[in-house]
Amino acid sequence: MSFRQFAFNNVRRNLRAYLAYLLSSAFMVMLFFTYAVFIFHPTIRETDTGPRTAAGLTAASGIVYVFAFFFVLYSISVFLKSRNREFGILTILGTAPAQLNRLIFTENMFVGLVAIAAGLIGGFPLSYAFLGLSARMFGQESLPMYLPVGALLLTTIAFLILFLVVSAATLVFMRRSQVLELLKGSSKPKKEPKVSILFSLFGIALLITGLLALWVRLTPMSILVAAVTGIAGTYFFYSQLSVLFMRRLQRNRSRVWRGVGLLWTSEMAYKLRDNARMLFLITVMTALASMSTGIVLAIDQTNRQMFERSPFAFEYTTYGQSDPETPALIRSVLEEQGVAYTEIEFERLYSQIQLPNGEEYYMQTMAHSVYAAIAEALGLTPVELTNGSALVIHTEERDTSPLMDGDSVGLVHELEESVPVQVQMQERFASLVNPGGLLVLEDEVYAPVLQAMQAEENIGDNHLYYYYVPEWNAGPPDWNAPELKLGELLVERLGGDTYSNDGYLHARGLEYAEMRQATMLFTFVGMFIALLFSLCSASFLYFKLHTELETDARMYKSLSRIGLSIAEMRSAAVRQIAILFFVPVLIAAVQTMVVVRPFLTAIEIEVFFEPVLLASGGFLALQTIYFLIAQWLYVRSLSKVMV
Amino acid sequence: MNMLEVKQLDKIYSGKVATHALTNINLTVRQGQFVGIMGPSGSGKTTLLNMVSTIDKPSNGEVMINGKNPNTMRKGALAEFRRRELGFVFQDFNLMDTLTVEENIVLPLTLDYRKLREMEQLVQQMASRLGITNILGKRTYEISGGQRQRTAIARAIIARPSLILADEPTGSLDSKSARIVMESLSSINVEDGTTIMLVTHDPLAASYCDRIIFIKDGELAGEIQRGDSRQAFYQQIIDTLSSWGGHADELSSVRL
Repeated sequence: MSFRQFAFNNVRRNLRAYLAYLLSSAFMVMLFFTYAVFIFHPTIRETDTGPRTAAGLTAASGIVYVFAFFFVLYSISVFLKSRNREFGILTILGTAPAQLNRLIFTENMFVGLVAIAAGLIGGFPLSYAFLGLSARMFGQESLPMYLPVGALLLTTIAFLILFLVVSAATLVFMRRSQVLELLKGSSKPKKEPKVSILFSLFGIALLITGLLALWVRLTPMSILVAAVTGIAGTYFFYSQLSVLFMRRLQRNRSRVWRGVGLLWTSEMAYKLRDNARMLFLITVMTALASMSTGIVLAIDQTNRQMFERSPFAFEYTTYGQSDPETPALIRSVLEEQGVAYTEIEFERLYSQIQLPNGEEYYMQTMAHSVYAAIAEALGLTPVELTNGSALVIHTEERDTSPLMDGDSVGLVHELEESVPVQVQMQERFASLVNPGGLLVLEDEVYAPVLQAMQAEENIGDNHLYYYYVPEWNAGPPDWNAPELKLGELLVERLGGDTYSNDGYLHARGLEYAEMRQATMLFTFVGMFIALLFSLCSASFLYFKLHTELETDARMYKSLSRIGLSIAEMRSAAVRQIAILFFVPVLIAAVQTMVVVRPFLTAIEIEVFFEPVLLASGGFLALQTIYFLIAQWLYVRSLSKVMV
Repeated sequence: MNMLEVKQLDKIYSGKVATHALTNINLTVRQGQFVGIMGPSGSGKTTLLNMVSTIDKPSNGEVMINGKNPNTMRKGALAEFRRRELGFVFQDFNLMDTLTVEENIVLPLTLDYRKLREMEQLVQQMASRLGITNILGKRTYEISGGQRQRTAIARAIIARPSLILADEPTGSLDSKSARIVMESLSSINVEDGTTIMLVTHDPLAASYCDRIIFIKDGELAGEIQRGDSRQAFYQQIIDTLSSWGGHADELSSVRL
């Protein structure tokens, strides 16, 4: 048996131990490869959104790479520690340190090569699915699978370098221990985890500072303060607070001296302390991922709401002079495409009125005939005005109009007479009306007011043209919906821009699509990174559990001899695994709630709970799946040692 | 009354080469007896102890403890049976590093959801009996081997088991600690009338027993009873061992 064979057999026969590590490494290779396939895709760069998407994915694959580096380094060092005994035996048998180093290096490279191969093989179907999905999401024609030579080369070389560097690095980091220490392996009793009340209080203080910084006033400085104190506080939470809590709990005899309480609480304190750094990392990563996902989802949802609140497909506003050509062009394009529409034309007018309390107030004003046409187009029954009365329309509950039903307003211009008003709440007018409210006057009252305003205030002729297309109001458009196609055609005919000297065209579909594309990119890249984080953190956890399995198995075996049943073992073990898996996600969810709220308020987004719950809930669901698998595997291995 | 009855016990480890670990063992232990099992390495002592301690199942024959046959029990009931009827003392103590001495002792009772006050009283009783009251708050790595074994004994007897099974309890101890541990076991046997079964290589430890059963190559090979003097009994054990092996040093007191 040659040296290389020996190393190979070590890996092969240790496969169970290597498996968790191998799989996670392979998964990272797979993910990296998938991104690379996308980035190198020949048709991606031709489309206008392609480069932006590719840039996002390049960043994402960079993160994957950095993350993979630390993961592999960490995994190897943990794994090597669990093999101390084996190295001790080899040393006693006369293996020279240089030979031992070569053995470890060769083994690592074997695992690395297998991981790269497995990752590439798994990466093909994944990238195929990825291409199909992204084609659908970005509204591109299907992206055909191709022979990704560039991606293959990049992935292989990148990860070869990674494994080489990590394998070399582990040799440097591996502490040369005494043979006796190596032989004893991990059978040495663990020292009681130390906590200090001072540090715990400091941790609490940090967390509270972070919270206050965000909630009192949101400035770039306070965000920075909150990020630093929040992250540091989270670290203290795991290394000090959680252990302190377990210790306190353990002292509460009436609670803990029951059933398996003593067993799991004492073990938990050690597990928390041992894994504090990892739990901290997982929490921060999960929190960051769900924060960004939450914000992106909130923006997306707001975008959708904005679309739904504008019933008019196109709105054209002139700048103070008449421009009959553009509306004619819009009409011709609509007719050319055979789309049924209603055009409503009116002047933008703010008239001066006098409120019942005598204050003067400017309110958007409209003739009743125009109002009736709009209401009819929207499928509403217009309110009729009877002898000299007026209508005030609010579009939002929190409108600030100071008028109530039955009040009278004085029209300052021309007539100077008082008009009784009725007030109506009508959300569907939101895109037409500013938050101050809309005053609808009878046509014969409106005309002189308009004239007077134009004469007196020199406001010019601001004409508005609204186009209502009933068949386009079934919801936000798909990527290839006629509304978008027609919008693009229209912009093209207008000379490629929605702005001109004469006026401004607002096409709700195009604006919606543009926003959506940006959020989609974020969602898409973000979701994949989030998925990676969550998968990696789960495999980290499982990996740690697996390395501790031997010690735990020894403990449970000796306990089973003095009468610990399998059911009791399961309940003690599952409780601990559940805490390790769920505490980071729950803490991250709380942090997301706390952080996202002021952020969204700052960018004037009101939807809050739904996106945040969706993001955190997604992580929770994923984590639940991992937890179920991990606890099943773990309990199954432990059940085998129970006598 | 018989605390333990072993009838026609066989244990065969099947495999490529079937090993007869135990052949036709018949054994009766009365309540309150302190029985030692001795024999050379590989003689089947530990296999016998494992059968009795319900950790392993016999291939043939049966083991009755206090009139019950644990091999017919379901796993959950078996765990409970071990907790309540049997007390274990091991060579390597089997204490949990993560618990204090006090928590280690009380662990079997907590699994049975006993009342807190009762548990606290019992721990104090057991500790003062074994002279470990002043180390109750310590962790297992802070105390000596003898103290650890006494902790393990306290844990074994706290549930008032009907049978204590001790597997080389002095195997990792120095002679002074070994003496204290054996005296503790002996006093438990005398004062509480608890039946004890001890597996050992050490003639000195064995000399605390009432009766010693010798096993060789999986079969019962003889038995001696203790008279009045422990010194005389010790000599008798040494003589028996020598006559068996021819050489006393064949029965090394070191066990790996």
